[in-house]
Amino acid sequence: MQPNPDIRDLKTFLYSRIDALRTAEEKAALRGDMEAFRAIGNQIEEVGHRIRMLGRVEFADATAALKAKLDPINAARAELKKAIDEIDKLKAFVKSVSKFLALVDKLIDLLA
Amino acid sequence: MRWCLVALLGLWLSGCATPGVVSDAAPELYRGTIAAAAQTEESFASANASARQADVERLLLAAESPGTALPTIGRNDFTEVVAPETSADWRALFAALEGYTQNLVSLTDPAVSGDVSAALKETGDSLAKLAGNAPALGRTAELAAVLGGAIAQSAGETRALDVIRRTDPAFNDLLTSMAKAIGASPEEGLSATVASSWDNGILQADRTRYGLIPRGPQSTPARRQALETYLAHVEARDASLKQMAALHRSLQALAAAHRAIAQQRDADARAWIDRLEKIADDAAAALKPK
Repeated sequence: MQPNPDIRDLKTFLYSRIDALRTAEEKAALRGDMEAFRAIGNQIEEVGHRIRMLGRVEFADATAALKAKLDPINAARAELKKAIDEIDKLKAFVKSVSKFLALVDKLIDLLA
Repeated sequence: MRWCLVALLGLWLSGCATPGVVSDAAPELYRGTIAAAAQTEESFASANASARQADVERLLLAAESPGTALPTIGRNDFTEVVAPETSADWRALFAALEGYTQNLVSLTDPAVSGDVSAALKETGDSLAKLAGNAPALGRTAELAAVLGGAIAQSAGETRALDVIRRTDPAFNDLLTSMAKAIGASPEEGLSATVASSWDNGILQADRTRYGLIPRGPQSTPARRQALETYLAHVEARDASLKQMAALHRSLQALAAAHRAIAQQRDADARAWIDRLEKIADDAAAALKPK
C-alpha cells in the first residue's frame, strides 16, 4: 500500500505553515508585541494538534499495509509446526516400539 | 575392520548432530523478537504520553489567552498518535513473528535429537536383551541411537534452513517496512509525529510561556523555573526519540540476522545475533521498574 498522497501533501503544508509561524513569532518577539507573540504560539499549538491527528491516520495506514505482508510468515510458521509434529510422532513411534519389545521380553521371561 | 568403519561413521554422525547456524541463532532471533515487541509497547506508550501532554499544554495556553469565549474540552481535543486498534495490530504482528521464531527454536533444538537418540538407545537395549544380551547388538544399538539423533538434528536443521530461505524475502520486507513505519530519523514515520508533539506542542508551550514572563529582575525566579522546565523537556524529547531510534535499529537487526542465517553467513549471523543479544539486554534493562 502506497502512502496516501493527500495526507502527505497536507502534512507538508502544515509543516510549511509551522515554519512561517515561527518566523512571525520571532518578529513579534523582536517587536515586543506580547499579544501577537501569544496568538502565534497558540496557532503553532493548533497546527501541531493537526499534525498529530494526521500522524495517527498515517501510522494506522502504514500498519494496515504491514498486516497484508504477514501471510508468508504465518504459512512458514505452520510449515515449521508440521515438521515439529513429525519429529514428535517419530519419537513417539520409537518409544512405542521400545515399550513393545520390553513387553515381549517380559512375556518370554514369564513363559520360560 | 568393519567395526572400525562403523565406529568412524558413528563419530562423523556425532559431528553432524552438533548444532548448526540455525540452532545457534534461532533462540536469539526469538529473544530479539520478544525484546522488540516490548520496545514497541514502550515506544507507543511514550508516543501517546507526549501527544497527550502536548494537547494539555495547547488547551492550557488557549485558556490563559485573553478572550470572551469560555474554554471547552472534548474527546477530540486529545489525540492518541497510536490508536488502540493500531497497537493491537502491532501486537498481532509480533505474535506471528514470535510464533515463527519459536517454531524455529523447537525444530532445531539439540535436545530433540537427544530425545530421539535416547528413545532409539532404549529400543536397541530392548532388542539386545531379547537377543540374550548379544554384545554386537548392543554396539549396533548405540550406533543406531547416534545415527537416529544425528538424522533428527540434521533433518530439523535442513528443514528449518529451507523454510528460512524461502521466507526470508517476506520476513525482510515485513521487518524493514515495520522499521520504516517507525522512522529512520525524527523526520520520518511515527518518529516525526513524536518529534512534532515535543517541538510544536510541549516545547512550544515552554517557549511561549518564557516569552510572556515580564521583563525585570523580579521575574528571575519564574524565568529560571521556566528555563529548567524547558531543559528537562528537551532531555525528555531526546530520550523519547532515542527510544524510537532504538526500536528502528532492533527491527533492522532482526531482518539482517534472518538474512544472514538464510544465506548461511555464519560470521555475519553471529555478529547480528550479538547485536540482538545486546538489544534484548538493553530492552530488559529499560523495562526493569526503576
